[in-house]
Formats: sequence, C-alpha cells, structure tokens
Amino acid sequence: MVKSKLMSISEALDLINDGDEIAIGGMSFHRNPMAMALAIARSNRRDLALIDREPGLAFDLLTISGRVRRIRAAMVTFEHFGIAPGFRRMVENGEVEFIEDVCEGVMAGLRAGAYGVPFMPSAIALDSDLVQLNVKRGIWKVIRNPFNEEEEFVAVKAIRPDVAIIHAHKADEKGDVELQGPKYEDLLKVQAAKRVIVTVEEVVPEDYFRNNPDKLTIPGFLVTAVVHAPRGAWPTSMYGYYEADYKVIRKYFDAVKSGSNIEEVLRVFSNV
Amino acid sequence: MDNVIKCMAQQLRDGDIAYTGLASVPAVLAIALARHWGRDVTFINVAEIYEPKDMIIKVSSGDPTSFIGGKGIVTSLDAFDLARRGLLDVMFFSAAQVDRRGNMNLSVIGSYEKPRVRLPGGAAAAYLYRRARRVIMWLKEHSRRTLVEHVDFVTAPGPTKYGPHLTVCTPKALFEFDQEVGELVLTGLFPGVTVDDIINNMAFKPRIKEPLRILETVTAEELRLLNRWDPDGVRYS
Repeated sequence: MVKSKLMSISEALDLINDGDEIAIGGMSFHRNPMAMALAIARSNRRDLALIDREPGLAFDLLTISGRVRRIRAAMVTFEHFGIAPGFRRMVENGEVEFIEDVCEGVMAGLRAGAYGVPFMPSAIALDSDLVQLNVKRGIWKVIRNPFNEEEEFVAVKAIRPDVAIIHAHKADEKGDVELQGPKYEDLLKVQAAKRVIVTVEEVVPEDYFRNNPDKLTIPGFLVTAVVHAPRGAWPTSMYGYYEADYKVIRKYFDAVKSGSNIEEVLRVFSNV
Repeated sequence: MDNVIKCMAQQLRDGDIAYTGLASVPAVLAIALARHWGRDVTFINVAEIYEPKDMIIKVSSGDPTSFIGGKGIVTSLDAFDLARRGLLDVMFFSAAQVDRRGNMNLSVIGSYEKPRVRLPGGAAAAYLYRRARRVIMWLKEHSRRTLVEHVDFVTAPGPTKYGPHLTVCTPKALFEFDQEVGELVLTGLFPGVTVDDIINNMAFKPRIKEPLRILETVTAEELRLLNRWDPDGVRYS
C-alpha cells in the first residue's frame, strides 16, 4: 500500500527547514501559494531564501515576514499599484539581501536544475551592469562558446531549490496534479526542487486521472506533499476558479507602504 | 498617455509577433489599438493567454481573466525561446531612466548598494532588449529625470549597430535609435509641442532628424475604444 502524500498545512511546514531556499509558484497576483505563504509568515522558520522570476504578493509578504534573509528575482512589482512595497522597504533598509536577476537568468538556472546539468548558456547582454554583480556572487560566469571561440555568453549556474511551493487545481493523494491554464515556470520549479509542496483547490480520487488521463500535469513521483487548501491562492487569482481580489491586495499595499508591522499586515488577510 | 499609446501602436506592423510583460497596460492597449486598425499583429503575453479577441484591463497586465477569447496557453518560456532564436518581432518596455545611448535603468536611483529608490528590476530587459527585433519603449513622463545623459545603472544596455530597432514614445515626442551614430534621435513631436519644449525637458541634447514628423493624437473614436478596454483608467496610473 502506497503511503498517502496528503497532509495538513502544519505538517507540510515541517518539510521546510531554517535556511532553505524556496521557489515560489505563480506570478504577480496570479496563482500564488498564499495559504502556504501565510503559514510560513506565521511560523518560526528563519533565514529562508526565496527565488522566483516575476513574483508578487506571496513573495512580498514573505519578504517582510522576518522569516527571510535573501531573495532572488528578475522583477518584484505590484504592477500598476507601484513597486512591491515590502520588497522596496526591506531592500532599501538593507534588511534582506536582494539578488537582482533577469528573466532569462532565472529561467536558465531553473532549466539547468530541472535538466540535471550544472549550468545553462543564456542570452543575457554581456554589458548589462548586472553581469559583474552576479559574476561576483558566483551565480553567473562569462564563458566562451566551445564551438565558436569568438563568442562569449553568460552561463547561469543551476538552481536547485530545497523546496518548491505551488498552488494547483486538483491532486490525488499520490501527488498526481492537474494544473490548468498559465504555467509560468512552475513545472521547472517542481523538477528542479528537492522537495515539492503542492496545495490544491480540490483533492480528487485516483480514478479522476484514470478517467481523464489528459488532465495530468505533474506526476506524483515529483511531489512530496499534497495539502488541501481551497481558495489557497486568494487574494491572488486562480485560473478557472476565482479572480484576483484587488481590493485586498490594495489594502496590503497601503498597509505595508504606510510602515505597518507584520502582525498588522497579516490582519489584512484575516479580516475578510 | 492616450497619445503615447497611439504612438506605440503606430510602431506595430503587419505580420508582427509582439509580447507584453507585467506592468504593461499601455503596451497591451497599443496592441489592441493596432489590431483595431486592422494590423495583423500576433499577440502573446506574460498572462500566457494566446491571441485573445477582447480585453478588460485590470491592475495587472498579467491577469489571465483580463484577456477574453484566447486560443490557448503560450508560456513566457516559449515566448522567450522564440526571441532567443531571433523570431520575436516586438517587445515593449518602460523604464525609470533612458539615456542618449539607449541604455535603460529599472534597478536603482542613486547608488546600487545604498539606493535612494529601489526600483522593481528589469525583468527580461537585459535579454530581450537585445534579442527582440524591435523594442518599443514608452515613458509616462518626458522630463530631466527620465531622459538622462547617463543612467544611474545599466539594467539593459542600449542597442548595438546590429540591433534591435529602438523607438521611445513620450508624452511630447518620438525618438528613434540611430544605429550609425549609436544615439537616440528626435524624429517626431506632438502637435502644439515645440522642439525647445522637448529639449528643455530632458537632460541630454538629442540630434534631430529633419523634417520632424508631426505625431497623430487619438481620435474621439479611439478614445472611446481605450475607455471601453480600460474603463478604470489603469493606463493613467
């Protein structure tokens, strides 16, 4: 009998250790793993590192939670609301270390991690000021094309996060997952990470996939834990299920921008 | 801003494949406007909704529910691979600062280590700003703080003599990057704006390509359409 991967959110939290690097699923205000992000923000984990390409609410919340020491992303924006408020405050005050990446760099690094190779060539412009910064940090290196000595490019070191946290539509208790709509880089994150926590809107019986084999997006052997978290992306959008709640996101933005502490900010998510 | 959007839309051509990213409502509206004019533009985007028929603009230009009647999902990974192969025609960007050489800054104002303002980061700029065939940039503000002699930080370096083709639409003017001289050149201005008005409100003195084009402003019908797609006026924020 195969053991069920279904667990509570606090059991899933036990899969995250102090100092872990965590890849966050979704993008901007869409399909963020909010249920898990809130649980981490309220936990006593320490010195976490976050990585994502174009993160939004969950990433920003964790950045101000006091649980996080280092963040890596290509752009941290609240789009037409403005610069992500927690990100801006924490980086300007030097309270978290920000590793500024490029979409191409995060994608290449996650691909190398997913493909099981040490690095990935990229098309990052060599004369961006980011190159020397990230070469110094040891995550990029300028190397020659072995097939054309005249050509140089930025190689991006493989990203192997300790944990990936993704919110998805459906899963069975073996961890087989259906993820509808936009995928962003979530499938690469799942493949590159050492442990994978998937929170889902619905837990379905195994027969759901046997009867609808086209629905399988992620096979269970890649997944460590399944957590039943209905509305677990709220207030970010869940494709096909619910829209982003911009009123609540705006409230969060205003609260953080006005300097509220994490306890006050967390109330934005519990008063509704 | 409506005129800036029209300026951006006019840079699009039949047969273009164009991609829009986050915080890019003006770019999304420029594509909608060009398609309304009958230009055959294939639209892919960070929301990953392929070829939507219609749209309702939201605060997030990555909102999948903002794009209506799409044909399916095309991921950003696939869009960026297309660009790396040299096949993405148009990418849109905005920036906090652009300089004479077309360098753009979305990283910091002030020093990198102790920034006065920590900006969001350049997203795909340090890559697509070189790999897309054409880059259409917009600035919400035509001023000495946005059009600078040297950017505080080169998030993405300006074009080389090999490309891409860079145009910059501002509320006053149109600039095009001249590959030969390696600089942004003033090529157009909106009615009622003088050359002095343009130059006195920027921190470098651009070359001017005579005769300057007079740029078209939005018609009442185009404004009605922009308001239908963007009833909350997100494009002005």
